[in-house]
Amino acid sequence: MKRFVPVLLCMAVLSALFPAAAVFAADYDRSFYRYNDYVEAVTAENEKILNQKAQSRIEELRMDFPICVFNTLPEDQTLEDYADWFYHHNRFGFGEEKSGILLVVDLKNSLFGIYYFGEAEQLIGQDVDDALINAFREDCHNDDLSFYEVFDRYLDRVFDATETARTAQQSALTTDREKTDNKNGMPYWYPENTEGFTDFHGDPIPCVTDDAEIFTEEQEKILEEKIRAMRAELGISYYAFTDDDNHGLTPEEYSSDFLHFNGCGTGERYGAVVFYLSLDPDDRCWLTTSINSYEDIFTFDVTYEIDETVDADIRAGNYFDAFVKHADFCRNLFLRYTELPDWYPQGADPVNTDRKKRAPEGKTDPAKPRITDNARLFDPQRLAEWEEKLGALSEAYGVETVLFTDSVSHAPVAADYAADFYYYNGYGRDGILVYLIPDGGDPLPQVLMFGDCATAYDEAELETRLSGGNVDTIPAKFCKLAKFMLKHRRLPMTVYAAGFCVFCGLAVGLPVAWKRRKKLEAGMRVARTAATETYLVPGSLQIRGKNTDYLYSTVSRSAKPKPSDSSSSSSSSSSGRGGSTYTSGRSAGGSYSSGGRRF
Amino acid sequence: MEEQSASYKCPYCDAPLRWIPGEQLGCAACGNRFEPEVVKKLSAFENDQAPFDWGDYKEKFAAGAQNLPDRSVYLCRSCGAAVETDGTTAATRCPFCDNEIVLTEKLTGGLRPNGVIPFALSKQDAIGAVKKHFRGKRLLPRNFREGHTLGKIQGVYVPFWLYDAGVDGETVLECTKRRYYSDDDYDYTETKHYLVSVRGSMRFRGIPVDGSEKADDDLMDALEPFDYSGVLSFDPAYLSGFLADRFDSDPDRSLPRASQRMKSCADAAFSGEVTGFDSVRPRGSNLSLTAPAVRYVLLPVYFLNVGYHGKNYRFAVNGQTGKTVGELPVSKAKSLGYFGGWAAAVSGAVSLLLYLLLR
Repeated sequence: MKRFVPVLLCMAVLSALFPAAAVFAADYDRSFYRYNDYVEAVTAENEKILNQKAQSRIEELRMDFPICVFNTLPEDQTLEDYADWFYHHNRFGFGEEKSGILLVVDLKNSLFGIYYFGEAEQLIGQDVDDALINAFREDCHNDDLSFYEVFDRYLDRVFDATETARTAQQSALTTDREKTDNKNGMPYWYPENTEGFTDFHGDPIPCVTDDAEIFTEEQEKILEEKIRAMRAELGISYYAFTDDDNHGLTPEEYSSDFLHFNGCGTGERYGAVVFYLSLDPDDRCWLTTSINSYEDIFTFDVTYEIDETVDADIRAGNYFDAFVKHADFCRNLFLRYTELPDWYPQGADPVNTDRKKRAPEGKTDPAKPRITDNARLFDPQRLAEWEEKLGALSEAYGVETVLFTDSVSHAPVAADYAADFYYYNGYGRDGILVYLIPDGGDPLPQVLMFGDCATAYDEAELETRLSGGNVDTIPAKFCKLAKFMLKHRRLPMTVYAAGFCVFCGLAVGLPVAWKRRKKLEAGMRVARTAATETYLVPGSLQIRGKNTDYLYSTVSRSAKPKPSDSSSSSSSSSSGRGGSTYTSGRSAGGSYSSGGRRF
Repeated sequence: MEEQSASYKCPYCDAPLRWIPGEQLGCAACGNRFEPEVVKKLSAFENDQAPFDWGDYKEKFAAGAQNLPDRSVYLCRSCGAAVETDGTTAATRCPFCDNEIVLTEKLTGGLRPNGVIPFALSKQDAIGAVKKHFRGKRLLPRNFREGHTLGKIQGVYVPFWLYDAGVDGETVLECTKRRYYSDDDYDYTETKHYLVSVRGSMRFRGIPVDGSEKADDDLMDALEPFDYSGVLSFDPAYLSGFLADRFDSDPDRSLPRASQRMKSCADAAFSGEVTGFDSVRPRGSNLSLTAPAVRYVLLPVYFLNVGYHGKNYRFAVNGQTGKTVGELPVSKAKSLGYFGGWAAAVSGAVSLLLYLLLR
């Protein structure tokens, strides 16, 4: 135990020093090795191989596979206690449930245990657990196998077991759905138990689900081909869905459940969108529902535009034409996310990139361009001057100071696009990025901080300072503010704040000075008469009696402050136009339904 | 009308004797010191030893003081000059030969004080007290401090009435108790009002009220307290070298000032006995003085008048304790300067603090 106490201490210190690692990795934390060998049971080279192998299938199987090998347990700790501490202390586990299978081996006492965390507790059955334990025990007793081979074989077996369990889980889900098709009146794709539903992303359904049976076979085929072509071209997860019964749900909930329960979604963030036409006699309407990363794309403005495009056709009963127009609109919408600037790497997907999993690394390179004015917002005559100033700052303080403009955003969110620009252009770990992406609107300066700058400075404060005035003045302001910030580790005080300080100073100072003056002036007058108590004969005060008579009572009341009413956000589906709805369907996921109209 | 007067002469050189505060009668010419009793025996001055009788003072006052003329003329025993004084002057100085004069007729019979507190401070001590009074007065004009003549300070025995009386009765107060409670919609405050009466008594001894119309009441009140353990039986010898006045405001006229102080004190003391309420507000009182008595004493006070910018500033120094009172002139320039200085300093400090916090 003593041998690896320093190692554990180092790990604790490192985990304290780099809390950001946990922030950037949402699904699982990559900070720690999966193969942890404190007794040098295998060579350093094999350690690396085992570590890489353990990491290689985490995302695919949505399961973590850490291994811990040590010499002996602390006296007051059981193997299970230690496994639990080791797993959570090192932040192992995949996803929100921190799912994982941990192998702990105490070499000195010839003990080992396989422990299951999160989803693994349900996923791996007892028989599989027994099989894994027996196989590992046999391997350990097999003198022909080295430790490396024992662990390598263990990983192969645990991968297979997890994969098998996952497949069984998926087929069980499908089976469940089929079974419940007519049992509770819900559609065939509804799981039996929605409470226990676990999200999956297999994309197994056709592009067109015409449960309302409004399309002819030929129309359905055309639409199917069109959507398939869109998927192939742009890689988007797009669905057309009709139904004549919302099964007692709102159209928003029903369409959201359609996406979740059918495993729709692509990319790292599993974005998907469905154009849903409800012909339910109680609620005839259409709407565009998006989930996950696509929620950023289908904003209120976008869906309003879509509604305007399909409105006439749907009201006229030309449903097929409306669906075709909707698909065309979405294709055009997604084109900008595929026709990317050349600094994006091959195959990049700005829509579905999970930016939480990454962070810029490396040192600051003052030679990199400081100003990239693709939107041509600034005076080209002065660009060189500002470039030089920002370059000097980067060199002096080791912090990237970058100004970036573009006329449109090639990611659904401008901040993500700016972050992509910073990341894919290889800027260093610590940096300040000011970006202006008008995208058809006003060019407002926005700020992203990276590395230490993110904790040292306030992005919103810098944005406020840069805002206002002519756009052309922003580079000069940025140069000036960045110089002050980097030198003093803070922003300079604003005129308003300075005025506020002076005002507060006067508000306190003037009354104090007035009181002090009055006190001095009072000292110039005749002194007060001595208290009459001075002349009281000691002991002469005698209280003979005290009467207390109740007179009357008064009661006053004041109303308690009421908590402000939360803004109603369920107007879109009922009003038909305007507003937006964030719906949490019956599944674990949320969705964004915006716009939509009744007819 | 020629008035009877008394002056104390040095038994050795016949020069006028003066009372040296805290010591004896002293001769400025030959430097000898004498016990007052010895000087008295030597003097041909016949002293009326009848004590001041409060019980029939009015009768005596009527017999003696009321018949005194508004103005008096006396003959200086040293130089024989005829000197005219007002009706209240009891001790003065001959303007021709500076001889100390005590007008014994105004200090005998019904006008004889019950006691006197002799000057314990010399003139120099009094000047020192005034200087100390000026010290630290930052708003005092510079030329006032430098220009005045402190040497003009004059010691005067001021007639005082010392009232002894009890206060008996009750004080009525309106008191409230508050209770707070709430329901889902409102916060409530219930206030219960009570009428509380406290009955009791207390006794005061020696509340001083000056009996001279000429003395400024505020100044005289502010000079308090005097240490009554220093009260001695009246002897005209203590007056020598100082000015002195007899009373010209009788005890009945001065009594309201004393009784008001006693009643206020009694109200406060009785109110202090009421506890356990959230607020206490006086509603009224029914108090009366019991067994009032008064003593007539002369108390030592130094006076100094200083003219400044057309206004007379009067200062008084307690001749026993050195306490100095009197309104001082305020320099407007200094007042504004201090105001500005404080405003700048405090405002600057607060602004700087905020700046450091907010930057």
